[in-house]
Amino acid sequence: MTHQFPALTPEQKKELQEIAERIVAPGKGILAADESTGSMAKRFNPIGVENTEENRRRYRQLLFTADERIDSCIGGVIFFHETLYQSSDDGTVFSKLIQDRGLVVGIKVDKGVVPLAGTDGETTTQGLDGLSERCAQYKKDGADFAKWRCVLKISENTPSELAIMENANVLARYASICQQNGIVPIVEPEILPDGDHDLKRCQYISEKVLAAVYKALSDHHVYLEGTLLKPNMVTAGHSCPHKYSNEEIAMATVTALRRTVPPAVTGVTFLSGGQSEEDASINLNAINTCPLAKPWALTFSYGRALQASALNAWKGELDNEKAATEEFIKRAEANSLAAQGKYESSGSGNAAGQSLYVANHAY
Amino acid sequence: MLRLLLHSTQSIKPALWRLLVLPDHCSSVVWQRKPSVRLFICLSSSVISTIANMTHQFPALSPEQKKELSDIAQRMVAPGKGILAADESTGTMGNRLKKINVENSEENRRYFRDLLFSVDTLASSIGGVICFHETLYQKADNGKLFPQVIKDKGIVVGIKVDKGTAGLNGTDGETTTQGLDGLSERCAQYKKDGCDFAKWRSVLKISDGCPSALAIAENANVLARYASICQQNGLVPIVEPEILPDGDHDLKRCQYVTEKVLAAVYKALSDHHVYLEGTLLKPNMVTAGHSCTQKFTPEEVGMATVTALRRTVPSAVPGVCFLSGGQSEEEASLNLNAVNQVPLHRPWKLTFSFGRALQASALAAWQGKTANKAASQQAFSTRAKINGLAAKGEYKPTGSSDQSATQSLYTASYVY
Repeated sequence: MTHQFPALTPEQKKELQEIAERIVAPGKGILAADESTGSMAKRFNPIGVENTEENRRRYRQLLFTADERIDSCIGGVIFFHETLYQSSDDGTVFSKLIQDRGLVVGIKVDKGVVPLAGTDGETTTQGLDGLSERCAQYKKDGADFAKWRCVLKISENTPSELAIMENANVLARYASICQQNGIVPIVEPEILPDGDHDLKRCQYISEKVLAAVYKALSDHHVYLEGTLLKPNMVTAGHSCPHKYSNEEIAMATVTALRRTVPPAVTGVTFLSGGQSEEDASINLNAINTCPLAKPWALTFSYGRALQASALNAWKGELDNEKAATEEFIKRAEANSLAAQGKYESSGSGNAAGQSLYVANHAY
Repeated sequence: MLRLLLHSTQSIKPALWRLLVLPDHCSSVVWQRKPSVRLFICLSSSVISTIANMTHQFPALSPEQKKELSDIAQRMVAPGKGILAADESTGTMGNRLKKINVENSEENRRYFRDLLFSVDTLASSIGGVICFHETLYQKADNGKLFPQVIKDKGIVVGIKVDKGTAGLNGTDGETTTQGLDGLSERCAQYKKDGCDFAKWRSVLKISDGCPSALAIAENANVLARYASICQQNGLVPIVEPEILPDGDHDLKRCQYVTEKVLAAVYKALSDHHVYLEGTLLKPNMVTAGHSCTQKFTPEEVGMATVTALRRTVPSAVPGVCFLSGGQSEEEASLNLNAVNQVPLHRPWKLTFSFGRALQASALAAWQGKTANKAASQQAFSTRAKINGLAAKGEYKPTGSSDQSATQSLYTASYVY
């Protein structure tokens, strides 16, 4: 392996890096609107909306037709396959609608998790078969970035070495294939927040997982400047009795990233996991005001944390569409500020928060 | 769940046996009978994975230990400062002294190190000095032990702890580095004797079949073991994975190999639970091989070097102190300067850990003659100052065009 067989030409590298930079330009993040058909059912059930293709189309439309206020907040939108080919009421294909307003179009390309036999309920993610051809087609159809989600969990025996290694490897294969087709891969190694583990444990495991991911990306000759990372923030498990402040979450998160994510990576776009809309914004803000040097953009790639209020306001009713869109715009603006460390949530002062940062030697 | 397969006819007497658990990739467990009889027992692998899973942290260092290491590292790479590598082994010192016709005696070695360490303005550009074992226990002309002389100037004292390279069988002349035996005890003693950092050099080379996967993995692993042991004893480990400049390979090849090597090094450091904020990296700059027909500018060297580091070195690492390898004094300074002017974000300090590139002129001026001491110190002092400026990207060689002229030689990073 001592000789290089360049995977990408300088022009291909330039294109990938520029796409990545556009997505995470200052103040911008990603709208993750790539819920699969099955996931959309989970969103629609609580608001009593039937999970039909038309309802999914109408719902995404109210997000994508938000006014120009989101143009400075949203750098990219992740689509599910079906949505990429749906159109707005006036017949404009959604991908074109998004592209025309200067946002980058992305596509979820994985095919869901499958079990790893011999483990304690751990999984890997499938979707590599024919991925190159699919990426080439998506590129033609307007997509410039892709997303692939791997999942790990924390428990007494997990994540196992196999789960870490296998998921890191499959993420690297996916990333390599994307780049060959002019598509920026968002690499998502999600560590679930389920469990009663504390903040330190999540940080430790995040560091191990990310170290494995970046070793795999190196082994697979992936061009880091043309990638984005979509990790979990470092938080305690949902059932952990100890509650942590936003600053502690921020410090643990930034410390873990500083120890594992090479500066060449263009941006880190956090997933929101199970966090509420407000928590996701406050935590992102704390991350951006954390007093440690952070060489990558630190922004959002939120699904639920951008859409929860919008869904609740909509409830499937035509008359509620404007109000729903307005809720979405509100969260987009809040997160845009949070990505710049300028978000002040009502009821908390930023100055008070600053002093809560514990020196990073404790991490 | 436990299946015991006895591979020996000996019966087990539990009191006489102790259990050694092997790393979890091994599916067997060794029972060691004191002193020497061994018995292998197979355990089902799920038991092993429960015993030896890595999902739980067993903190290697307390917050206080981390803070101490981090503070030491920061002091060593304070802005405008770098490291004087004065840790030439006795044999290597012989090579240096031979060139100026000076006898390789203990006194001559002491005299020359004293000459360097007693420069008044040393601390303005030097944050740390790496010593060889012998030197640590020698004294200045004024009778003070060298570590004390160095510390009194506010400079951190370091010690070379490796014991040289050893052959990797089955490779094309590749090596690993030895020195792990009893390293913890040695580190504890060096800490008592005034040291706050250590250095360990691993060596790789570029050729048609090198570096091999084994050489990379083995050297990364041994560097990580060394680093882990140092930190346990309050010493900041300088991690040095040197890729030799020998060969006719071009700049791109060196960059590619450097990226692979550094990725392996940082994976190993992660696996060994090393606290990155309390380490320093001492890599080669990315350059073409010595016999490469194409010549590259300092700006190209700078860009290739910074690109390689950005792709592999986590920003938690406080500083990168380049080795000078075979570069001349001026070449090393120009390249370091160019590295610090690269228009890419560089989250670590980028400074020097030079041996020859700080001492060549001083040796040449000295010639072993006491009368030349001041001139020798002046020569050394000049190089130290220049490299201090280069570490900030502020070195302007006399007679050269100003920065704006050189700036245009940068090729956009996506070519690298």
